[in-house]
Amino acid sequence: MQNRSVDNESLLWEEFKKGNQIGLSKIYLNNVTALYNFGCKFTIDKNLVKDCIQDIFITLIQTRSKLSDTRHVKGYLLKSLKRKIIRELVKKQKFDEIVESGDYLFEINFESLSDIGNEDDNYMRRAFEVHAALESITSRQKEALYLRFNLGLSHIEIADVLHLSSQSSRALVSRAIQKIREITQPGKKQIQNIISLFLATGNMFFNI
Amino acid sequence: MDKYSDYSAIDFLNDDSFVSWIMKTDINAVKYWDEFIKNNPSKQEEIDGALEIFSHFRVKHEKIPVEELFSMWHNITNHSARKTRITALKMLKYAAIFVVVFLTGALSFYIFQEFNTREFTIAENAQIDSEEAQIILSNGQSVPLYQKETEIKYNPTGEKIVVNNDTITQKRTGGDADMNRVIMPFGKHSQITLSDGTKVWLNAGSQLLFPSTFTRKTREVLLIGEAFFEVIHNKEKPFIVRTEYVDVEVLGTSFDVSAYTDDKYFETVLVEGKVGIEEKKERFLSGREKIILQPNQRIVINKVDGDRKVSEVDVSVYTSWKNGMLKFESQNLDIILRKLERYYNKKIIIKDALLGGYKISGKLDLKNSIEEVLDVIQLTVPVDWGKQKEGDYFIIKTEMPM
Repeated sequence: MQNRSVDNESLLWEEFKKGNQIGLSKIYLNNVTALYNFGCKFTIDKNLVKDCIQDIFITLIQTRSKLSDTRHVKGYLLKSLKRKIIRELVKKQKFDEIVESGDYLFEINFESLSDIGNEDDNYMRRAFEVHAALESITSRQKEALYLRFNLGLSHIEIADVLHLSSQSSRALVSRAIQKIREITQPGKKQIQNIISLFLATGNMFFNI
Repeated sequence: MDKYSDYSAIDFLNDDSFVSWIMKTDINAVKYWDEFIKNNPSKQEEIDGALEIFSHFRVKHEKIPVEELFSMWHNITNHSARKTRITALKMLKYAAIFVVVFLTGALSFYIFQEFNTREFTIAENAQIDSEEAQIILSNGQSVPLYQKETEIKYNPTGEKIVVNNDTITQKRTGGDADMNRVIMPFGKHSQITLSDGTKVWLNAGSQLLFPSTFTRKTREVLLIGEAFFEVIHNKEKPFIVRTEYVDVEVLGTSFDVSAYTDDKYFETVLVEGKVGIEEKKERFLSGREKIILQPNQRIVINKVDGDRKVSEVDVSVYTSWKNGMLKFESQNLDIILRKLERYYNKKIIIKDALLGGYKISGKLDLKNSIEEVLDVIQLTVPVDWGKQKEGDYFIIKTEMPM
């Protein structure tokens, strides 16, 4: 599979590594909105997110000569931002002497777009059910779904951001989709779905 | 194709290329899946299922205002400059380059925002192939343009578009998002008649963004690159050409705007009527100055230091390209070669930078091949040209006979 945007970005990245900062400024413009949106899922402090975005780019400029090549610039940036934000949050928590496990939350509300341009009552009813079902998924699953269907990341990139293998990323996403599929297509093809799930897990073991 | 024959909705959503298609982040994937759906009606049900699931996972998308994007980048570059040891001179050079890139980026950003508000996909990540001549209609549909020269005409309602001899119809979505975009890569050019009758000659390597009809108080178009405008007079609705660096406002007139993002200069030449030039100073934020241009005047603004010069000129020199001619008066060789590069979509390398300083006056017929044009240049200045392995051309100093 050819992915033009990925190729373009890794070329820009190379340019930047050679000392051409225009490359980085283009990468910045291509990704800053995605970074911002992703970052805002970890904290309501938007200024913190903006500061962290600036910090990761400053670090890139300062460590330019030590950077390695990457095919997945967007994934790399998201991962760096996530690490930075969580570090900052933990620092703050210590400072405020709030004792927490260090776990982070990925807050997301999948409801907000379901009313877009759809007058189909059945669809609305399903959207409501879907929303309820999504309440119960883990924040890790939410994060994977967000990366996949809002930022368009590949499984390899999602795995990188979540510190998983790409098979596990696939499984994580599949489970959530499966849940929703049962709502959007009740009764029908249940057996087939079970079979395909079985096949998917089978493949997983096979690949390990 | 076989690989997908027993794919379920879930499998499709796990396929990277399929997701690139839904999100329109990869032009190849878009082409592939559009074709796939046409050829595989039996998969329609599963694909619809996948699309519905996808729609449930979408969340509201927050935007950072453009000014803030600027100030953030400003902070990034300033901050790192302080910590790394770069000489003052180098810094100045970087700062200059940045301003240019900034505006370039911001412009395309602005375009994407305008362009995609009607869709809920993340537009900022979408890459549009600017190597291929095409019109992108207000519904996002892209129509490829194959000829070297294309004529495009919008009817007054903006619903019917004639491209050369073919007619395209589009449903109007209405509102601000109803934008069309014409992309001309290097080596191609086109003439566009907008819905108000205004004619635009779009030069090679340029893009024009415009609404199907002008419903706002002003008629606004966005230009990257160079275009010649013949604006239909309308007192109530001034015509504004927005570019990365300045806005040009007109009442009814013909003029040429050259605003290539990789050029150091912004340039406008007025043939007749009156135009006002408004500079977007200090990265769009503060202080706007308006300069009025009279017929036969040309303004050149240095995008780096803001220096600007207004002078009386022979306008045909600057507008001759639309008739397939390139005219110039004591113009530097490097600038002429740059124009040729764009027109023919070929790279011309000047081996000795000093050669770029030769001044040439005259006329080049661009209907000729690039080789013939280079031969003509060779007659007037002491240079030789040659062709490299990769198809690039180069210019060297003629060997003096000993």
